[in-house]
Parts: sequence; C-alpha cells; structure tokens
Amino acid sequence: MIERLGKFYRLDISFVTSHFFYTPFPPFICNSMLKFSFLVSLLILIPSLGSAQTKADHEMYVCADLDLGGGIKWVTVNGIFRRDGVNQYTTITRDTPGICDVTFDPKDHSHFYAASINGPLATYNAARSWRMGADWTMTESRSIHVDSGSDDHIYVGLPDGFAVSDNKGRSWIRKETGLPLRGKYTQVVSVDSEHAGRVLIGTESGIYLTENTASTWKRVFATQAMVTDIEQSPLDHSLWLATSKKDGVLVSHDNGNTWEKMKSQVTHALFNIALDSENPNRFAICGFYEGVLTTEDAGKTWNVRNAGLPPQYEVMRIAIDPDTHVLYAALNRDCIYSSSDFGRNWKKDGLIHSIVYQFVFVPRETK
Amino acid sequence: MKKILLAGVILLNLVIQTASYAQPSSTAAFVAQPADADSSQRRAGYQARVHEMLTWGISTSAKVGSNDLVTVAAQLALKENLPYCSKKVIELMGIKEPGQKGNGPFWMFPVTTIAFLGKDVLSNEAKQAIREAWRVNMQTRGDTENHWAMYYSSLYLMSELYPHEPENTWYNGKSSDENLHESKEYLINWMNIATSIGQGEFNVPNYIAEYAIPMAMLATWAKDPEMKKRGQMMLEWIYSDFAANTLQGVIHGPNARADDISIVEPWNCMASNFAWLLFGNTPPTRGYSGWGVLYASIAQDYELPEVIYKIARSKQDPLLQEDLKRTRRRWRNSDVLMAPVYKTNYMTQDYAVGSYQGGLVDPIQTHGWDIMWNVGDPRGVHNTMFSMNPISSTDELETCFTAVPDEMPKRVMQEGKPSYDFPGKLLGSSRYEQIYQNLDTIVALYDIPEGTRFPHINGFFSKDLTSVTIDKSGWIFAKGGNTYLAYRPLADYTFQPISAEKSWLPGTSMKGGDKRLYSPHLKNGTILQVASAKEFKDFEAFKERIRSLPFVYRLEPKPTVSMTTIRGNRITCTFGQEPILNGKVVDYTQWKLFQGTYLNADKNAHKLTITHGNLRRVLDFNSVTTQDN
Repeated sequence: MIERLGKFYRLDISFVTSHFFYTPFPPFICNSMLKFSFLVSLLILIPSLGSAQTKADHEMYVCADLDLGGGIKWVTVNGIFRRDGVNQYTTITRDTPGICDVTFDPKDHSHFYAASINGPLATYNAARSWRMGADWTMTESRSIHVDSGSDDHIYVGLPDGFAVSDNKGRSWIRKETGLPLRGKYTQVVSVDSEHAGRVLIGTESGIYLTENTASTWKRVFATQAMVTDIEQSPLDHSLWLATSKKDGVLVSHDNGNTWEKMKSQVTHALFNIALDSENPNRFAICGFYEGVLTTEDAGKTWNVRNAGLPPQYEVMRIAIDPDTHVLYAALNRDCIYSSSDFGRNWKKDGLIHSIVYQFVFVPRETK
Repeated sequence: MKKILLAGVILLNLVIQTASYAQPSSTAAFVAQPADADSSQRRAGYQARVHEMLTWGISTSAKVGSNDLVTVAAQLALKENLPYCSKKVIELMGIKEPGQKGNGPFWMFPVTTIAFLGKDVLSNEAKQAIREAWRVNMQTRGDTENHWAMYYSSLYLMSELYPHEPENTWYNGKSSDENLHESKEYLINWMNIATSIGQGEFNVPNYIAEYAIPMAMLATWAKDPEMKKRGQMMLEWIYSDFAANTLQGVIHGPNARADDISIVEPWNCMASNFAWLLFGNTPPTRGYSGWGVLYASIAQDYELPEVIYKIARSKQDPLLQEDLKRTRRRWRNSDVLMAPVYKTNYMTQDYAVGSYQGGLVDPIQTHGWDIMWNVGDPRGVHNTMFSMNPISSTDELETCFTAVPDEMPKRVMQEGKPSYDFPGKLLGSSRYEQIYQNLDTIVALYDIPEGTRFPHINGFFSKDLTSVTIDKSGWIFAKGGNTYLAYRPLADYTFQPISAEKSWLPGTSMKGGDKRLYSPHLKNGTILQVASAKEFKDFEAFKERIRSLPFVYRLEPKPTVSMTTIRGNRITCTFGQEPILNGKVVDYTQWKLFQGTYLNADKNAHKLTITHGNLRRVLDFNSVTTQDN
C-alpha cells in the first residue's frame, strides 16, 4: 500500500505482497517517472519481505480523533492509525467520518470495514476510497466485526439495533429478531473466534447471543444500563468477559451462554476490558473515572494502576498487545501510554492529543 | 458530529468576522417596512435587503481579502468578479491538508450553492475542481436533523447536477443514481415526519438557516418538479411557523435548540436576520448571522406568500397557537424514539408567552418557556423572563448521543456548548421540570431527585426590568416595556449577579446587570403571570389583582399549585400529573399538529392551512400542491 504522508508517499510492504501482482500502480501514480521510481522501490523492498514477516505477529491499529490544534485549540481529524513503534503512529486514513471501530478482512488487509458516524463503511483498496454501504436508515454505527468463518459476513452494531452484510459491506440488512423494540442500542459486537455465525452483542438491555448469523437472538444477560465491551479469551475460548456501565465486570465460563457479575471495587462506568494472550489470569479494565485496573488472578483481586498516568487518568480505552503483552492505555485528549509491567509503570507511547475509541490487533496477513 | 460542528463554527465565525467590517442595517437606526406594504413594495423591500447583504459581502471581500465559500457565492449571485471566483474555487477545492479540506454539511451546502450559481460562469477548471472534491473528500453526514437536511439536500442536487455517473466518482462509493434515490427518500421521509408529528428542531433561533437554506436550494435548483415543489412548500411551512412565533420580528418561546446569547437577548440570533429579510420588521444581526449572505445568494428571487407576511406583521391580539412538535431522537434510556412536544404560543401586541410541557427534548440546548415583552429596538435588550433547572447529566446526553458514558459533559463544553456543565447556566431544559401554560400564565414545577448535578432553580431577571418589587405576598412584580409581570417563586431564593460577559458565570455586581434568582430547593416551582399595562389603571392595580387571585400551593409530597389565573381560569398543576383546567384534565393526546389563530393542521395529515383575515393558503404534502383562496 502506498499512503500519502504530507508531501511524501509511504510504501507498505504488507500491501505490496498481497496486491503487487494485481495492481502494479496505485491510481495516482500517473507519470512515467513516478512509475519508474515505484518499480525501483519495489525491487529494493521485495528482498526484504522476509524480514518484514519476522516482526510481531500482529499489527496494532487505533481508531481515534487526533487534535491538530496542538492541545490549544481542539481541531480534530478522525481516522485510523497504525502503530509502528514508540511514538510512531502512521496514518491509514484521516478526515473520515467519526470512525470508532475497524475490522479487517483476515485474508486481505486492504479490505477493511469501519463503524462510523456515516454508518458502516467498507474499503477495498486500503482506504483510498470508501463505500457507505448502508443508506440513511443506518447511522452512527458503534462496533463492527468480520465473522470468524466467513469473510463475506460483516456485523455492525447500531444505536438502534444490529445489521449484517453478506457481501463484504456493499449493502446491509437489519437482523434483529429476538432483540427488543427498545433497548437494543448496540455498543459492542464480538464474534466467536471458534464458531462461524456465533456472535455476542452488548446492548443497553444486556448481552444477546446469536448462533445462526443473526437470524435470531436470545438474551443471555439482562442489564439496566449499557454493556460496553465483550471479549473472548484468546486462551480459553469458553471464557468471555464483559464490561458495563453499572454492573462492573461480567464473566461467562460457558462460552457466553450464561453470565454473572464479577467482584470488583469499581463504582463508575467501565469502557472496555483487555485479556492477555499469555497469562490466562491477566485482565485489565478501564473507565473515565476509574482509570486503569488490572488483575493477575483472574479477577479475584483488582489493582488500581493509575500511578504514573496523568492525575485525571480519564482512560478511554485499554489494550494488551498479544505479542509483547505490553499494556496500552489511551488517556482522554492526552496520548497513548504503555506499560511493560502490566500497569506498574507507564510511559508515553504517542498519538498525542488524541481521543482513542478502539485498539485493534490484526494478525499479519498470511501469504 | 464534532467535526461537523467545529467546521460549522469555524466557517460561521469566519463569515461573522468578515461581516463586521460594514453593515448598515444592523447598526443604523431601524425603520421597519410598512406592515401594510403592497406586493410591489414588499418585493422591492426584499430585493433591497438581499442586495444589501450581497453587496456587503462583496465589499467586505474586496477590503479584507475574504476567501470563504459564502463570499464566493455572493459574488457569483451578483455575477461579479467571476475570474476571481473561478480562481478561488480552485484554491478552496484543492486544499489537501487533513482537517482543513471540506467535510460535512456545512461545507456541502455552500459548495452546492457555488456549483449551481457558477454552473454557467465558472471556468471549466473550477467546475472540475468542485466535481473532484465531491469524489475525494469523504463527507460526514452528521447526527442532527439540520445536518441531515443540509447533507441530503446538497447530495440530492449534486447528484442531479452530475447524473448517471458511476460509484467511483463519488466520495461515498455510490453512483449518482444511488445518491439521488437515497437523498430523495430521506428528504421525503423527513418531510413526512415533520408534517405529521412535527419538527424535532422546532422554533430554533439559530438553526433556522440550516433548514431554510437547503429548502431554498431545492426550491431553486431541483430538476425534479416534485422535489422543487417540496422544497418550496417546506420553506413556507417553516416560515409560517416562524412568523407566528415572532413578536415584531423577534422569535420567542420554547425551542429545541437555543444558545447562551439569545436565551437572554432574544433578538440576537439568526432568526432575526430572517425576520428582517422576509418581514422587514426588525434589524438584522451582526454579519447577518453568517449564513444570511448564503441564503441571499440562493433566494434572490424568493417571494414570500402574502399570508405569511401578514401573520408576521399584523397579528391578531391575542394570538393563540397550540402546536405539536417532537423531541430529538432518543437512542437509549427511553421507551420511545421520539416523544411528543406540546407547544403553546400566546401573544399580544405587548408581550408573548410560550412553553412546552417540560421534560427532555434536546439534552443541551432546549429552552422550556419564557415571557418576552415588546420593545421598540430589541438590540441589546434582555426582554425576557423564565426559570429552569440547570441539570448536567451524562445519562441525558447518552440518551440522545452515541458517546460513551461519563466523557461527554466535558466534551460538549469544549466543542461549542460552553455553559453545559455550569451551575449558573440559563440554557437547557430538565426532565425534572413540568410546565403548564394557560394563555399568559405559566406554572413551572420542579421535583429534583437528590444527587442531581445542579439541583437548583435559576430564574432570569433582566437588567431591563423596571420597578422590580418583592411583595410581602411572595410575588415579585416588575415592568418590562408595556408589560406588567408577576413572578412567584415557590421556595426560598436569593438573587445573584450574572456576569455581563457570559450569562452562565457569576457576576461581581448587581449594578446595571442581569440577576439570577437562585433557589436551591429540590421541590420547587415558578408561577408567572403577565398582562398589558393598558389593561390596568396603573401598576398597583395589577399587583392588587394578582394578590387577590385564589392561589394555594404545597411542595410535599409533590409540588402542587391550585390557582385562578389573571384571566379567570382555574388551574391545578401537580408534578407528575396532567394539569387540570377549569375542572377538566388537559388531554394532550388530542392536540393537533397545529391549532390556533393562523395555523391549523391535523396530526398525521401532512396538510397545513395558513390563514390571515381573508387570506388562506393550504400546503398539501399528500398531493404536493399549494392552494390559495
């Protein structure tokens, strides 16, 4: 993929490996000198592809508003940014409409789908262009996910329900049988990594489960306020955890079929939960007034991990890198912080003056 | 949403700033157009005002090198400086810096205006630049009713302008045909809702332009005769409602989305600019409130139906309208997507009283009720009185917005709603307020739960009131213009000064300034009764009349008032219950879409009858026709 970075273009190796043979020239490379330079670059870069594959197994993407006003005047652009290292966040797309979540086609990362204020968006050329697949009846999508078994099926959570695309986001249809008429504000969509067509959603009225690609839903946990996040354990697929506005942390040990509240000292809304891919007892949660809390004993005890963060510790989002196990915390209008010791110490990691809505770790494309 | 708001604010500020260089009518002594002006006089007056706005825009441009889209539109409208326009359009469309290129409805509707005004006069390169911008610049649709009206009207017209072009030529990956279909479908759906259960953003002091401009665009440029007619009819729908809610050109009463300035100085809003332009009965605002120049660029040839002009200029005394509106869309925390709003508008030559029944309409900007007295020149005058509960609530914000919990109160203050989380604010409504209006009597009751952020009442007492008297009876009497006012707090209170700069901040002195009646009691209430001075021998007679009226109240367990109004009606209001008028429960479910002196429409009928004297005009959205007789 080639991206425009100010006056320069950046060549992304992973894009080239998947697309080079099909699209030798991005559309904007129109003069012969540029084409020549492009081919020379490829000749230089292709031998290094092997080394690129030796990097971490996942790429980290961030959906965020970024302040161009330098923290003095709040002038934002919204977009998707990829972390390439400490203080190295590369713009994948900017000036896009309110993107708060993104999901990638596992086989082709130039195809990805975003939950945005314009409803679900799809790109088939690494964000050089977009398709607003839904019409005016779907807006302000909150969460989006590709099905674990079918790359064609995309799920999107809406403030007034849920919709599915069976054609890679070109069009969308509501699938809400079993959801309530009111109370179906869907904040989070989480797919079962092991079973195609099996999806859990977190809504205003609880957690709902479908096992038939959203043809029907059943409520598996009732709440009086938003379920804000649902995550499946990467180590034990029958273990699911969720966060909520008023019910704290929720846990399911039977693959999301039943849920119970987990003991914790939180009193305010939680925004999301992150699970470590190495230690099954390590989770982290966050909230605007709670900051960061971690557990290393599967939730028996929770540790406040705000020391080292700014005094307000208004944490919008948290994540654990599946490769390095670094803990990331996004502070409201501040920046992303990282911790290599699971929250005991923090350092600034970049994306200064940002509001982060989502961290997404994407397995590198299989070639 | 935030980007759209920000872009709108930036563009508006730019326009207003450039507007400050020269502007005769906003600062000159004001002379109203005669109320009985004939059609040719009205026409000449309208065109003169349009010309003033456009020429001012161009002269400003020449002086300060203004480069905004609105100025280009004004130049195109007057067909002046066309080579410059082409050059400027290319420059404006070609901006590549992230965050600065066009995005969202506040960019779309001026650019659409330029595309149509410049269709035959801009250079091919300039037109190509516009077309290319609509291919590469992703447009944010926004999250409010006015955003969508602007977005889809613009997209509709641009899709007509560039018909049958493939999906890769549009920012949203949809073909011209898809965009045209979707835009038309949305706009008709929106019109159907507005003409059946009412507008969501109703009676708005500043957002009127965000509806008038897109509707004027459709009325002026749509190729499809149906959409052209619909645009014209919606414009008349909005203007007739607007005319009925203005007192000598100044909008009053409850509304979905006000602002911190016009809440205390009712004239100081975009609507006054429209009243000046359409009715000629109040001065325009500074800089024509920004978008006024754009409207003038589009609607140079607009002709306001006489019946609407008459409603604005020759009101029956008194006027009574009881109309139906609706709340903002509620995503969550509610059993309904949109709740009904029952809006009352009572007006005499000397004052106007307006209200809705209370509760959540828009969580940030709703104005619940007020009385506004007539003044000769409204500029700088705070001719209003009201009370409210200044709640700040993440739950209420979440109800109508898709923000995550807790974070939004802070955000809204940094993005254009600076008073939201201040206890002294005067802008906003509360679900803990219940209002009943009978003619020129208001009963506002409050039942605020413990733990509510800002659990108190703010009452606004203007610097422009005279003879303010705290009576032993508990009533506070005052004069405003030719109006006598009687304000009765139902719980203890103090008066606090208000900052002269920002109405939501505490001031340092009472001298010459507005005051805030502060009452920290959770169970509370305000009674307000007003009358024209000419109805009484003198002020004392008014006071005596108010004192003599039967009036009892209690605050526990729920605030309750039983009283006889100054007009002799017996009312009983209890928080949480429907009001009782002369022994009969008020049944809001029977309210029509419009019912009153000038505007009448059945709920769900899509048909409005506008009358004044022997003038009558029917807007029938079922047949998409208008009829005069």
